[in-house]
Amino acid sequence: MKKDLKVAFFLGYKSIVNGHKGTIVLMIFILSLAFVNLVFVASILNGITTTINNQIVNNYVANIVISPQEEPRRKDYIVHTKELRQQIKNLPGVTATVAHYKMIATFAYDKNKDGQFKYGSWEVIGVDPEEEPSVTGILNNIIAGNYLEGLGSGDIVLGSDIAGGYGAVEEFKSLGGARVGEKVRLNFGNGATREYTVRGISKVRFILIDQTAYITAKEAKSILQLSDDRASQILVKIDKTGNEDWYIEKIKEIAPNLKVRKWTEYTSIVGDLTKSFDLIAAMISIIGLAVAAITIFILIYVNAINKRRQIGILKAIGIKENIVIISYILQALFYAISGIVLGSIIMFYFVEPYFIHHPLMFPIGDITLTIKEFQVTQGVFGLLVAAFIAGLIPAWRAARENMLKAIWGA
Amino acid sequence: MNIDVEVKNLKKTYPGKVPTHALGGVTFDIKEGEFVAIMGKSGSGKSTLLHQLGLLDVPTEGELIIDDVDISKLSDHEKTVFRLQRLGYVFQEYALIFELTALENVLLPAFALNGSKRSYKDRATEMLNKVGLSERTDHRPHELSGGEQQRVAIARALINNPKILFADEPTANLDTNSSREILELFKKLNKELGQTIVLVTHEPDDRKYVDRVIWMKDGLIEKTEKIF
Repeated sequence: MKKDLKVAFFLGYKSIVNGHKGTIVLMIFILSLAFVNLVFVASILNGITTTINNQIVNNYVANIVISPQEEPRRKDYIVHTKELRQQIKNLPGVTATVAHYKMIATFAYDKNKDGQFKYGSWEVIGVDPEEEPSVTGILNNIIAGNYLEGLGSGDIVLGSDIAGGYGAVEEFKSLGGARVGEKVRLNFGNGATREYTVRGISKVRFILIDQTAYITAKEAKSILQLSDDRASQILVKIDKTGNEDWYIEKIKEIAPNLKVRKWTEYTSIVGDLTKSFDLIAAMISIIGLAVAAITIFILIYVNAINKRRQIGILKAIGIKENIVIISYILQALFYAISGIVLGSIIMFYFVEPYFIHHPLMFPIGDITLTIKEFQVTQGVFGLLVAAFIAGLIPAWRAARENMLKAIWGA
Repeated sequence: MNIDVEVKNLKKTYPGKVPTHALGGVTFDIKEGEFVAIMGKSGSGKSTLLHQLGLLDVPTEGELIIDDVDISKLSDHEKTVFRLQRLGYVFQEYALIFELTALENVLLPAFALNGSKRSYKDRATEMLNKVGLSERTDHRPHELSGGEQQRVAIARALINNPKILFADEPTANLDTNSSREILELFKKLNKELGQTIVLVTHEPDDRKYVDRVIWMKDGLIEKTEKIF
């Protein structure tokens, strides 16, 4: 067997080295594209779900959300938040916590100052401008004006979908173009009415966040008439996303009455989307693999058919069938491995960096490629298996052919 | 003198709507060291007979014993090994592997038989020397003339010291000079090395090189002609 392998390797090697260069280059290029196709489509779809998850964790609810007691009696606020936050901060791996004050308000904006107001209802969150950037990324996503500052009570930061004019998903529902420095009036659910100056516009390209407005915690407490250290919500940021369950258990031990949720519970709005993308990715991978297998099969088959006379001659001079078959399988594997290497270079040195610098602009955020190791491994393994089978079948058929027919093409 | 090839009532029929009886039952022997030509008109069955003798095809009926081995008892795999070890075959067209150099083409059967290229490189070079191609070892088939390619094919057929060398109209595609050189080479191999050679040819002039001619007609032996 070792002897046969050596001869098969020799024939395969010579066939590649002295074969038609254009054909070899074309085969490798086609296989590299098949590999890129396998990895790229899955990576784009992964990128969408990764972006959604990052938006939720980085800009919306951090890793863990602590809400007021729901059972046995529903409460509106979390009490003794300073002490609670301090205890949570002491847990190893917790990087920060913030308290939020959540309200719903009806916004009124008179764009042309002619008494014709445009109205809309959105969520308003009271935040501590100093602490907030340690947990959410709103500060980094101000596209006009500035972020909230200190304890100021007359300023508001509007999400771009509220302000309008920044390509909102539901532009018609927006205020129609509220700009920095202009006034908006808010009527809160508890009857309070306040007028604010737009200090900044934030946009993270995620509908849940871009339809939210931010005021200072002090202002929120004033509206809600909270004098002690109560809060509507506490967000907890940890150093490693994925380890939330352990922290949830610990927080429940500290505050058993509070409702503690993982960020994934806030993905229901996009949960079906994510599942659909996963399904599409799996289907495209299978189809891509089948197309790659058929491509290799056709290439090797055409190659074997073109060389059927040579195969006949090899058999006639006493070269065993299995040597011929193995030499073709080795050639197919060479094309597949070269295609994978070239495809990886294209993918990791050209396509991925390109998308990092030129992300796809989606309503849910900027999409770059998320290349998962197991999907690359799956692509590599799939292509190698496809190459093996696609090399075996045509070579086996050609090698089994009657020698005289093969030599004289009868 | 030992008998290298023993043929008894060998028949070959190609199936079809109207079966073609290419060989109607031929019987003859070829002795060790003999140079035999099989001659006849086109369609007489001479190439079909050589294909059976060279184990490239399977006879429909009859007995074929080569080098004391009953070929009918061999499996396909055993026949392949038998061809590699004991038979040499030269085709009408220059049946070389075009991705290999002249030296590699000659070396291939030895490599397949023994699993080593290095040990047989000298022998392959020697074989190319014998056929007068010592200067063309690194040339690939498309860089060689028809006559040179055919000489490479002969060197390849001889590399494993075959018991019998079969040649199927090896000069059919060559000019007169190249044809003469090839046949003289066969004669030399036969005389100097005692190589048993079975040659199929349709050229009556080729008779002068051989010991005996088996004349074929309509799939049967018409007559046997002793030359020397």
